[in-house]
Amino acid sequence: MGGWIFIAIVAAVVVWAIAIYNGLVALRNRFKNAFAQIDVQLKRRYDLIPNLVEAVKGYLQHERQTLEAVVAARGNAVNAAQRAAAAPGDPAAMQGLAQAEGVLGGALGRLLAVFESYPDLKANQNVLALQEELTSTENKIAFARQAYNDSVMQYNTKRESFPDNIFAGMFAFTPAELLQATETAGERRAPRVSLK
Amino acid sequence: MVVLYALAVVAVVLAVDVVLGVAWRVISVEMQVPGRVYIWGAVGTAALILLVSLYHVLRLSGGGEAIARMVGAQRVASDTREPLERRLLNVVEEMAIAAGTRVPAVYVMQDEAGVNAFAAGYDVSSSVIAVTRGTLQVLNRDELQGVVGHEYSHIVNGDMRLNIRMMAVLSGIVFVGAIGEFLMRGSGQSRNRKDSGSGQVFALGLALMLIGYVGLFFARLIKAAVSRQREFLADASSVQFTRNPSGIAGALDQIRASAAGTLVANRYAEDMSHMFFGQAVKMKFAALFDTHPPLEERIRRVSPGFGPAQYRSRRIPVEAAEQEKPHLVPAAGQRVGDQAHAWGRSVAQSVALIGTLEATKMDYAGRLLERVPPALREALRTREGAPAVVVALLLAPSAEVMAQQLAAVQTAAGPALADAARALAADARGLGAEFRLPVVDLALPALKNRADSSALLAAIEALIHADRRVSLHEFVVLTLLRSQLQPAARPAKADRSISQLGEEIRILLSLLAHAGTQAGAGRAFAAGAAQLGMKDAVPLKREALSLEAAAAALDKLRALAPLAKAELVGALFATVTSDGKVRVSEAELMRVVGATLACPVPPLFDSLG
Repeated sequence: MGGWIFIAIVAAVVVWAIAIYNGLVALRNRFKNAFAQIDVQLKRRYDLIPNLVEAVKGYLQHERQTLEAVVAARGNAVNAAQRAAAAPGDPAAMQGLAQAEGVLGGALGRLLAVFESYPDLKANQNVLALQEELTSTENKIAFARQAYNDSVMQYNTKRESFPDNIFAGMFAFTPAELLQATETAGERRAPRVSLK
Repeated sequence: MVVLYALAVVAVVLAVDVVLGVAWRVISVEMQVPGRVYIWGAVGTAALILLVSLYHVLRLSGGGEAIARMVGAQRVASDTREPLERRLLNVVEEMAIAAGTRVPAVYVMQDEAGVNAFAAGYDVSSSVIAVTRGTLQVLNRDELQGVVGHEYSHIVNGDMRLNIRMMAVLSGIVFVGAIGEFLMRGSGQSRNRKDSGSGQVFALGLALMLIGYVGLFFARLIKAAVSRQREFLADASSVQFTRNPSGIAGALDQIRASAAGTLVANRYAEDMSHMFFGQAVKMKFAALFDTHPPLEERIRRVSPGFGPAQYRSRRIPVEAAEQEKPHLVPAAGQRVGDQAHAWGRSVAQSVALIGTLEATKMDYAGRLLERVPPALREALRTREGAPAVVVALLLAPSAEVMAQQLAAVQTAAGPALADAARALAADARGLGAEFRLPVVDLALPALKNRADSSALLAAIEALIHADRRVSLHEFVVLTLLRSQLQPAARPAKADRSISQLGEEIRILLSLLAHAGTQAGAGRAFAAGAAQLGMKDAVPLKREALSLEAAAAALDKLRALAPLAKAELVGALFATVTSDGKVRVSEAELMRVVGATLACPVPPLFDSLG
């Protein structure tokens, strides 16, 4: 009789361990998928930028620097994204990507600000449509990031809470990195405003 | 929900049994009602309710698309170029990412001006999101995001399945009442034949109908109770997805501020009232039956510190609003060939022209027609060609705008008209400004013979709005066509005085004043106002003139007394001729005003430019 009870307890523990393991796997895959979604949106932004630059080039003869900054930032961000996609959740790659994206976001922000001072641009249907697409893509990236962080939080919470943390350690579930605010050191400084 | 449903079914079954019991005693001689009557009555009623519920569940399992089609919503094409629809699609995609679901099909209820939206579908994969046209026009991007986020909550939390089942199941309860009504009507008719049994059938029907109303009472109560809790949840989820409480709070605030509110005119609105974003149907006992909590309560829960005045002052308006509601741009010398002609007559002499027909004018019309290119002249005579000529005349010279305009015509009236207009476009472009309105005049007889005049008007409106601005010329053509093809009923009494319609006159005079030179607009308006003794009147700004306002003012002015009309026409002439010249655009406007007021103005020019 005692033997049966012992076997039943062992079986229950095994079933319980399997449930925890499967739960961790599901959450890990969910945040990996969430990261892939960010990747999709980032690619979309990389594809959109050449179109935008092409559409506004004619109008912005005097804003060469702004346009070149956007193009250069795009190139860096594409490289960083490729490195990060190879190892989702890896802290170093994540930080590199966040930084490159931050620079690109800043360059795009300046470009959109420049638009405001060109009434011709605002009247151009193509540019307006591209601007809406860009706004939407920026939002999509933000939301994808948000969804990624939410799923990472769920995963980390489960991984660290008792008793899941015992099994997480046993099966090598490493902690996942949250995406931080995408500011570079330069951006964290307060902007200097000069009125000429 | 299940408990309430079971209670409702039991209540209905009991009620039916009571009716059956009474009916048995009346009809039969036996004093004791046999138990089997109750049992069969109960089983029959329950089976009926279940069957009808099942039928509706099956019917609605077609998913969200079936429901969207039921309320007459149109699918938004994924490659739409319309800015507002594009924005909606983008917002829906953004929210899909935030909520971690796939992107649903997007529909727009084109004819609804209220601000409302719903999500429907049996499961996430077959779900749809539909919003009203009013939502697109009133809400800005953040607010739209809030509304769409709210609908996503319904998708993610399985509210739609719950909603659809509830709709199906509750209709089973309500069905009993429908049978009662049917029996009562049927027996009511046969009663005329003095049928002995029909009185009892009538009573049975009446009783069943009462039960039906009891069912309806419970149905609404259930719907309201479930729905209100779900709405709070959805509002909260919207904040979770957008991380922006002021989006959804702002949307709710805009609904509170807008005249149209959230009411939906569609006849299925009552059935679906619990699926919408806001209260779609007005209820008598709002506190009990409203499917949605009060707006104030919803705003308070998502954003306790929400200050409406503060929010409204900072709110970014809808960027595309101006594109949706194009304002009237009086074309002061903007159009090619809008040359000014010297005008030597006084105001009184000008007014005397009304309704006259001189030989020189007849001649003018004839010479005008001769100069019209043969292809256009041929087309004008045919029933198919005439509308195409009118469309071709309104096409813009720039190829890009023209393509947009033709696309708008194609969606409104079909490809045949667009193709025919495209073929005539080159000829029409070569036509001088002074020919345009006369050519439209020539097209009118052929247009009036067509049964689909409303489709044509819709096409012309779509064309005019395609480039997001309405020129004076376009306004003139549209007003002329409207008044000729779909004449509004004559006003019952033409007895209004000038002072009673002062505001309308101000709009009209401003429109005419701005049609002249920009610099002389103020002087032109003053000249006209002085004629009418309106010393203090101030002209409206160019931006303040809208197509709708001008058309409405013109329509109201038809109620002027005949003598007042003469005075008004005098004032209009004074405005137009204040600089001693008459432009083609001014003459066109005078003509169409004259035509609307039933004071025909003859062609004002003798010579051709």
